[in-house]
This record gives sequence, C-alpha cells and structure tokens, in this order.
Amino acid sequence: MSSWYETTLTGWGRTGLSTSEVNDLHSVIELLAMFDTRPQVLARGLGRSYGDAALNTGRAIFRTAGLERAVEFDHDTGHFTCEAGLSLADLIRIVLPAGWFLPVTPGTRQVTVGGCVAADVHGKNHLNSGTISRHVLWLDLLTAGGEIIRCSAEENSDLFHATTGGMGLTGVILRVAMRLRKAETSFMKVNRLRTANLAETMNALTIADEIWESSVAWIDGLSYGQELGRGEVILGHHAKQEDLTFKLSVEPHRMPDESRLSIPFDFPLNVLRQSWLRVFNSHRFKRITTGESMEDIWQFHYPLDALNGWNRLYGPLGFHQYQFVIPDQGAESFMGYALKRLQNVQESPVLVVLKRFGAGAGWLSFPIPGWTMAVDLPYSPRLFDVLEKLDKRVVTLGGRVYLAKDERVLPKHFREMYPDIERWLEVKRNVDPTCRFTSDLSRRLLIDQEIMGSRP
Amino acid sequence: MIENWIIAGATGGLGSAIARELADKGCNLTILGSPLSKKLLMENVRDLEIRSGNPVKSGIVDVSIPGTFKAMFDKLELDGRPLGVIWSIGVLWPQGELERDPIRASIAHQINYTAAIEFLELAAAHMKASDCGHIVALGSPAGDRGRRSNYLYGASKAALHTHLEGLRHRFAKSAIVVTCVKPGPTRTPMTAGMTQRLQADPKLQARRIVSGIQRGRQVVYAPSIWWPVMKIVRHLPNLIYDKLDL
Ligand SMILES: Cc1cc2nc3c(=O)[nH]c(=O)nc-3n(C[C@H](O)[C@H](O)[C@H](O)COP(=O)(O)OP(=O)(O)OC[C@H]3O[C@@H](n4cnc5c(N)ncnc54)[C@H](O)[C@@H]3O)c2cc1C
Ligand SMILES: NC(=O)c1ccc[n+]([C@@H]2O[C@H](COP(=O)([O-])OP(=O)(O)OC[C@H]3O[C@@H](n4cnc5c(N)ncnc54)[C@H](OP(=O)(O)O)[C@@H]3O)[C@@H](O)[C@H]2O)c1
Repeated sequence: MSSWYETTLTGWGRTGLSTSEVNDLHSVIELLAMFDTRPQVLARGLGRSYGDAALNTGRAIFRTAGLERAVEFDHDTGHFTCEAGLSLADLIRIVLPAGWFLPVTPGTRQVTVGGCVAADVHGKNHLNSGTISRHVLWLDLLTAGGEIIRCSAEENSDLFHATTGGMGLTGVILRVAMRLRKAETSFMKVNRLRTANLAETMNALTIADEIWESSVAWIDGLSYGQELGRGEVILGHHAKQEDLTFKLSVEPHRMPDESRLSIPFDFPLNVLRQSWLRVFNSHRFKRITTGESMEDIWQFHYPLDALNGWNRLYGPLGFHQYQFVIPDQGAESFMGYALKRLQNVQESPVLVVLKRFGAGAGWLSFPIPGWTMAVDLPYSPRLFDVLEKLDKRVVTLGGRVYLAKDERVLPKHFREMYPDIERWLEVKRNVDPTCRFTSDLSRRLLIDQEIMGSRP
Repeated sequence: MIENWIIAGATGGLGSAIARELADKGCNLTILGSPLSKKLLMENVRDLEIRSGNPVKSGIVDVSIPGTFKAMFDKLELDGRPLGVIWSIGVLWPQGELERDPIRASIAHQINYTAAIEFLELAAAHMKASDCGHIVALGSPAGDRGRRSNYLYGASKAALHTHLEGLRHRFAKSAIVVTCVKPGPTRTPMTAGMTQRLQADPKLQARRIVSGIQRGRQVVYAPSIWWPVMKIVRHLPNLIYDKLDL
C-alpha cells in the first residue's frame, strides 16, 4: 500500500519550490482507500504544466503516473480506454503499431492522458481537430463525495464540460475512453517555409491551414524592425503508405527508441542568454531547409523531447511561458507589439511559437478562434509586471492566457478572460462545495474563496 | 530472447513494470499475484493483453502456504518452447520492527526467500527437461553486505543470491541462463514513504532489468552505478565500515 510523504515540487518552469504531502498511486483501488485520509487534495500527472496548476502547497497531492493500465483497445474502431496516468509516450507505443495515433497531441509526449484532458490540450492540428475533449468518448471522475461519475458530452455533460479544461478542480480523472485517429504510417509529410516578417508568417499560416492538417510557426524572438516576426512555418500531414520511399515502407510503423539524452543537473545559471540566442537563432533561421520532406512523428510533434530535463538549462530562477490567444481582429498588431515589448525585458524571448486556433470547447478550455502565441522567457524580477500590462490588452481584445502555463494572472483578469467561469463555478458548487479539490492556481485565482464564501 | 515468461509478484511496482516491458516486446506472459490483490491482477492481465497483443494467463499464489506453485508448473503447456521465470515477490518490513519481533522476521524471510526455493527449483526441474530456459530473481544490494539498518531483509536476499549462484553453476554447461537482479532503491509500494531522493523510476528500472535479462547477464545492477558502489562497500575494512551510518 502506498503512503504519504512530504516533498518539494515545482511547475515545469521551476520558478519556485512548493512543499506538499505526496502519494504515488499504483492503482485506482489504492486511491479509493487513501482518498479520505486528507481533506484537500489535487491530482498531478507528470508535472508538465509550467506554472502552479499542478501544485498544492501545504496540502496533499496524488501523483497519478502509476495509474497507467490500458483497459480496452478496439483495433477496428480505434476506441482506446486507459487509466488517466498513462503517458502519451506509452500510449503511442501501444497504439501506433496497430495503425492508430493520438487525435490531438501537445508538443511533448511526457504528459499523462489525465493531465491532457484536465488542461483540454490542443495540438498543431487545432483548426481541424479541436482540443482533446472533442475526441473523448467518456471519462470516469472521482468526485469530492467519493463517488465515481462517468461523464461525456451526452451523459452528465455539465460535469464533462467543467472537467475538460477544469485543471483537476472537479475531481480525479480515473479512466478516459477516446477515439484515436488512423495512422497508416509513423511518418509525416512535412513542408517548411521561411518567412521574412510577421505579416508573411501569419499569411503563410492562413493559406496553408486550408490545405495542411497540422501547422505551426517558429518565430525568431530576437528579430527586429523590418524582420520582426520572421521565422519558419512548419506544415504537416500524416503520411500514407504510398507516400513512403521503399526504404521507409519496409517498416511503416517504426518506433524510435526513447531519448537517453538528459540534462543531469540543475544549471547554476541560465545558459539561454540573449547574446547566445541571437547567434543561435540567426544561424537557425539561415539554415532552414525549405520544401517538402518526410519526418517521423517524433521529429515533427516532439522535437523538445529529444533532450530530457531541458528546463534545467534555465538555471535557478527558472522560466515562464506566456501563452495567450487573441481573436482574429487585432491579432497581428498585438503579436507585433507583444514581441517588441518582451524583447525589452531584461532577458528576452527564447522560444516563440505562433499558431492559428479554430473553435473553442470546455468552459475553462483555452482555445478560442484566433491566434495563439507562446513565448518562453527566462524569469527576471521585472517580467511579471510587463506580463500584467500585456494581460490588460489581451483582455481588451477579448483574448485569454492559458492556465496550464500560468502562475501569475490576476483574478480580475482571469474572470474577464474566461466568461464561462460562472457556469463552471455553478458545477463546482454542486460537486465540490467544500473545495476538497484545490490547487495553488485555484486559490490564487480566488476560486476557493468564491465557492466557500458563497456557502449558505 | 525467450518469449514465454512467468512473473511472480506481477502486482508489485517492479513486477508490473517488468511485465509491461516484456509485453511491449510481444512476449507471452503468465502473471502471479497474492490473494490480496485479485482485482489488481485482473486489471494487469487486461493491460498486458492490450500491450502484448497476446492472451495473458494469471494465477493466485499464497507464498505462506508451501506447495503453492506446484499446480501452476504442472499445468504449464509450452509444447517444448523455452520458458523464462522471474521472481519479484518480497517484503521490506522495518528493521526495528523485526528486531523487536523475531517471529515476524522469520515470516519475512519465508516470503523473501523460503518461498522462492520452491519456485526456483520447480522452474529448474522444468527447464532441465528441455535443457534451456532463463531463471531470474530480484535480489538486492542489501544482500551484498549485512548492515545494521536492514540486515534481516538483506540476509534473505543474500540467501537468494547464493541460491542463484548455485543454479548458475549447476547449469553452466547447459543453455539455461540464470540472472540475479539487484535494483537500487526504486519508487514502488515497497518503498513508499521512504526517502525519495535516490529512488529510481520503476519504468526506467524495468527497461534496465529487461535489457540485462536480454543480454543473459549473470548479475544486473540497476542502475549499473550500484555495481562499483557495492564493490567498494563489500571491500571496506570493518574499521571504516563500522563508522559509517549505513
Ligand atoms: C514542452 C511542452 C510542450 C507543450 N505543448 C503543449 C501544446 O502544444 N498544447 C497544449 O495544450 N499544452 C502543451 N503543453 C502543456 C501540457 O500539455 C499540459 O500542461 C498538460 O496538462 C501536462 O500534463 P501532465 O500530465 O504533466 O499534467 P500536470 O502538469 O501534472 O497537471 C496539469 C493539470 O492537470 C490536472 N490533472 C493531472 N492529472 C489529473 C487527473 N488524473 N485528474 C484530474 N486532474 C488532473 C492537475 O491537477 C493540473 O491542474 C506543453 C508542455 C510542455 C512542457
Ligand atoms: N523497490 C525497491 O527499492 C527494491 C530494491 C531492491 C530489491 N527489490 C526487490 O524487488 C522485488 C519487487 O519489489 P517491489 O519494489 O516491486 O515491491 P512491491 O511493489 O511491494 O511488490 C511486492 C510483490 O510481492 C508480492 N507479495 C508480497 N507478499 C506476498 C505474499 N505473502 N504472497 C504472495 N505475494 C506476495 C506482492 O503481491 P501483492 O501485491 O499481491 O500482495 C507484490 O506483487 C522484491 O523482491 C524486492 O525485495 C526492490
């Protein structure tokens, strides 16, 4: 039987240490036995959310990564059911050889299925495929009362829309059933374009989105003036058997080995400094090989997974990812403004990614139609002030910031960014009136206060 | 590599991780669990069937009852295909508790080693007939040298090590391979609540262990750094060893 121990955790951005009591689960049975032993708890997957979403300082955390059993897999329909702690890396190992792949995947496979549903993640194919919740057939949720409730878009739909994107605050997701997408091969047909400035980058994405299933742009965060927003547009389709060269077609579902390369220790200082990056970025920009090519799924979807623990490169202060979405109206000018603004912070943008979103989903789900930009920024004392000012503009433009990447948005901004919060709170009041499920994020955004304060 | 494996203790942290690793390689598995965890055993069966694409057999064994493994080995239908077995049963009860209650210490020894005698010898008898197979058991660096903080556990592991050493010697001229696995501290239910810092991830451990098994190694330390560490620990003169807080 598992037991509690005290330990320190961080978000993926490593900006601060948080101490809590942790329980590493190995089975759902164990969770049910341990659930009532702590008054306030939170589920945590693989801790790939950047900020405070998966932290519960001074309270209790169930780590779910040991809940990783496959439960059902229909090779004909692609319906797959598993426990919520299964990592996407392992899921792919199970389903790809049978010709199936994730309908939606974030930019890393070191995340759990439960974490992905709780953040209602999007991938490079959002415009076509939406967020992960669109492909969830049903999920089993352990709620505050100790009850297990199955919910889906049809059954207990309110609880479903509150849970997908609900950042673990409605309960612990135990099992998830989803519809996979067919993958004839483990390769992507990829097209890369070089763009000279922001307008060109956004233009290329708009045109390409009509044709390509997946699209994203890498932007040189240190480009200025005429060249501001220059970068590389990366487009991809799943390759069919007939697309493969003879050599590749011998093993169409080839699985690469998991990367063994890792950063073995915490860097004593941030090595991703502006001066180095300028050299690196301009080198990378010049080196972009344009045109069509064949890449495996890992190169295309998970380039960062090649180096385990890369977040340690940012040194002891850690880093922050600012990801926001802006509706089409006003997106271009704001993107340019935000880039310039962030270049003026002490340490400037390390990695900038731009992409177009389609329709929205769950009540706290991040995507809405428009443009999203994600900027990796080394932490510096002034950073959060600058971001707060940007938040204001994001709110005015009808945009929002991604909770899975956040640790600093103000409660008042949060409420304006997520207008469906009222419906969400209503569900929360019903299923969890005493906030048994709580996190650093929920307390920072005054969600707990709102729920508890409104108790009769 | 052998495709048919029996895993005793396949409901445990290391046992299930090893089973998954073998299932990913498409092996045929039979998994054994204790009467306490029937439901979990069935969940693991389903999981392993999906991962391996093969039917998975299961059995309940109670190692406090002598003879518990006999029925299972009698029923084995392999039609001459080589068999591999893995012993991953064990308990790590606090040393202090066992010092105060030696009867409990002997029960722990029963689970950790005495029960393994039957399992290992039945497997050996089975393999002797076909003159091939692979016997694996999870020992521990704790069995390499007795120390005050866990010698009652360590002694049962040392017995297991010696047993495996003997089996290896006995089968040295045959195609029967014997592997003794010595994992360093690993994050499993056995070590839950203990100092976390040095604990390895069971999935990574399983990968290391299965790769060592695949290579037919006699001893597998996981991770391999424990080999030089234990080499030093074993050769430290008492003068120094006694002063260490191990
Ligand atoms: C390199 C990198 C690239 C990324 N790319 C993308 C991307 O392209 N698109 C995107 O959308 N996101 C992206 N992300 C963010 C990531 O997908 C999400 O943060 C995801 O939630 C992380 O999953 P996790 O298992 O690590 O969850 P954690 O970070 O551990 O937890 C995240 C949230 O989920 C909740 N949670 C976890 N498990 C459960 C459960 N079983 N039941 C209930 N709640 C649970 C937690 O309480 C927490 O609120 C990226 C992250 C990284 C590090
Ligand atoms: N974890 C470590 O740090 C570590 C280090 C070195 C060596 N090891 C060794 O590795 C092996 C596996 O350990 P683990 O970490 O995976 O521990 P674990 O998760 O506690 O698993 C122990 C296994 O032993 C079974 N078991 C215990 N008592 C039993 C009994 N009376 N009858 C039948 N089965 C019984 C358990 O079955 P049920 O769950 O069904 O009860 C379970 O499958 C053990 O031999 C251990 O000594 C572990």
